[in-house]
Amino acid sequence: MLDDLSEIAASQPAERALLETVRRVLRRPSGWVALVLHLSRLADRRPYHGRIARALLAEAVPRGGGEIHALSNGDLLLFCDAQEPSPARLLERLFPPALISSWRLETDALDLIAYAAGRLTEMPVTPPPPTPHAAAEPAARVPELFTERDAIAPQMVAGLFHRQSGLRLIQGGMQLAFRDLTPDLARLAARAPEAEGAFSDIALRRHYLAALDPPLLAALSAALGSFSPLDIAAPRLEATLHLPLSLPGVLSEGFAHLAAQSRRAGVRLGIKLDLAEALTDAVALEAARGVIAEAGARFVLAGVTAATLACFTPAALAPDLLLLDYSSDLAAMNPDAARLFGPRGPAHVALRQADSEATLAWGVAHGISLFQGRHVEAMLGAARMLGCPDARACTLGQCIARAGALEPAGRFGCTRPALLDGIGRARAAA
Amino acid sequence: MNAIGFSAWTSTAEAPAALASVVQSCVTAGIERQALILRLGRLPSTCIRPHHLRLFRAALDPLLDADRASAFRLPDETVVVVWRGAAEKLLARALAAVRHLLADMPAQLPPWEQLAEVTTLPASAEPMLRLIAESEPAAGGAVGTGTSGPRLAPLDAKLLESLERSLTQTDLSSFVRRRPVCHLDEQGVMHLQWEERGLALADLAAMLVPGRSLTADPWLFLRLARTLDRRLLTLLSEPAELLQAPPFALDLTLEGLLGAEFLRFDAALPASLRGGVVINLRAADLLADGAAFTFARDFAHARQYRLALHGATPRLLAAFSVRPGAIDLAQIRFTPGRAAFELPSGVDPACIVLADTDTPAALERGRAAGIRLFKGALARPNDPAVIFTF
Repeated sequence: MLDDLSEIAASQPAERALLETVRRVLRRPSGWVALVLHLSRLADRRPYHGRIARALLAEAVPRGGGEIHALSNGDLLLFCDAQEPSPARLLERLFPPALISSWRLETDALDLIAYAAGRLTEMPVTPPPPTPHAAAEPAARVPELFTERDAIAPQMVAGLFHRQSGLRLIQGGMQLAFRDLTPDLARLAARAPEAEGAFSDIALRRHYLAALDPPLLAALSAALGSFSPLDIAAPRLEATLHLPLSLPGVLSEGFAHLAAQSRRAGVRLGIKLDLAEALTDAVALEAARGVIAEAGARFVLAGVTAATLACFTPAALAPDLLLLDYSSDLAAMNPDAARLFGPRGPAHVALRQADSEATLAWGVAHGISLFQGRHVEAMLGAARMLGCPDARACTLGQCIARAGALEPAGRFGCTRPALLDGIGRARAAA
Repeated sequence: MNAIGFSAWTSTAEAPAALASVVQSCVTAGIERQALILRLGRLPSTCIRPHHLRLFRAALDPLLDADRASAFRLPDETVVVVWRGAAEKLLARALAAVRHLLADMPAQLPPWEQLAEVTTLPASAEPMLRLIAESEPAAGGAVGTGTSGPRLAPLDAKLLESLERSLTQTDLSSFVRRRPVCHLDEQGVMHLQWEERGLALADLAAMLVPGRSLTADPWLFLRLARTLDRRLLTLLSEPAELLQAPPFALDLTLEGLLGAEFLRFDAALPASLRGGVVINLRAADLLADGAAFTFARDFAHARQYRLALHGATPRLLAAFSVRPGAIDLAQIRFTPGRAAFELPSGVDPACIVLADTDTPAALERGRAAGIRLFKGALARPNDPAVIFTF
């Protein structure tokens, strides 16, 4: 069987080397152990996973002799002396047990052969594109963006943010609870092609996003009374608007000005602070909370994930609203509701990334009634289309995309744009 | 020997640390001592030439006959003599001799009150520690951020990029500072637990980007800190750096902890230091990427490092899992003016380090909260070499 694979292996140097080693050790399998770390099964694989795992495996090599193979799909394979202490226990402290296989070649040679055959016959794997969180390797350059030279004019702001809706599920129906503005990273990156890679660096991304505060605040102040999607006082909005700001943004003159305007207009704002941003300066956080409360706004805490909950109890910051990011990890950890929600319970939690009915069901089972995500947008879109006389000309996807846009160009094609800002006062079944 | 006796009049390098240690022992043990402060640095430079200093030394000699007397010449030419018990006659003789010397000087001199001061420890511990700190211009860049001093403009992206380039050519070894973290025992004696090794950021900024603060923009600083991590870890991976080093702590970013340079440092770490290294992480850094933190925490613990949280306040501690095996330690800063603070319930005071313990009030409030680990001007290990000179 191994001979049949030689030809295939020719195009994959790492796999070819593995094949040679497998052949060699199977001639005298006694005393050998093969340890495989299946990093290719890791959902959110980062460069440091491989780097650190490889270093730990390398420690086992000089002791008893052995070999490490780094395969093109990201898996690491160690052949070592069975008499030596195995690094498997160390790896188990860092990776789920399902990612680790250990085979004694005297008895488990077939498992190794099957594994090697699997690697040799699968298509070469290209590395996945970086996710927004995958900032383990820094961008090479630090381009200057959004400074005085290329400042973002308030009238351009609408094109750089998109909007989602927060929905409250109530007995037999739903209500629009809030609107949530989020910077559109793709558009920001497209605006600054020289900054390629910079937005995937967590530190640079947050620095650049903080530079959006002044134009956003100026744009909102300017839009007051304009009945545009950025008009926080427009009566049809019916819901609190969540603004993403940095700590300096909250403590700025621009926010003081907008807060005074919103107070006069009787509008409630939600100030969305990302958890990491909030903890850059504990003293400034206290000051910002005072400013938010004085403005009559809500303190909305975002950026809370399953991984965050492993080391942090966000309820201790007593936000008015906690935006919790749903993920399969969150569902798997089944967080202790009392610890997560604090004394105020789930009423002040909104579940984000509610992209499926199952997510909503998970939230409801945990006492959550506020949701934000693709499934919510679909529910709202369907409700809008039910009440829209021109709905036949549109698809649900178009309606959702237009409702998320804040600029006229993004809403092009909709003949009833006023409906995009509400749910048509319809009360759809949940 | 740390204390500078008059027989070693010309040496000033160790005097600040030695005098601070004396002040600290007065505070922690509650022992009263008298001190004479003579600010020779305020005299015109023509009056403090080497032969003048020899004459001043001779003038102060009588005071060294007092019980457990010791003298310290600080870098700014301030001389402090500390002794225990009554020594009015000896003091009077010394002061008379100093006045006599000054009377012979031709230049216009500051008033006597500005030159000489007699004070009591530990009551005047705070101004004495300030005097020590101000005598060391080169030490203005304390380890870490340092919030005192004038407000400087933040870095911008362009400056950061050029700074990152300059750092590849800069020898950072002269910017490394060490600050002790001490455990205060029931008898009021400070014991070194570990020393913090970090870069004097203010000094680094003054040299490379004058007029700018490296830390004012927290996210650009995080980016810069990764570069600094790589340089610092490379520096520390030199065998000579780790040989016979006491337990120590390092400020690192998550990326630094998960980087290739840390792996090299880890490989170079002698077995004697395994379990003795503390990694300080900033709250914002670890919460910016929770998944990376979880992995880094497990990795650090697997390699027997302890993790310490920096940048939290007593109130924020309630939100973090500060306990051995999670976030092992947390460092909070003493805030002057705040009457008292309490640790949230469930937080073990044994896991807390109180930084900025520069005043007796800070030490007292930390003690009252059950804290035993301190960092700051008053947190210096009681060195027998200092004590025996009294």
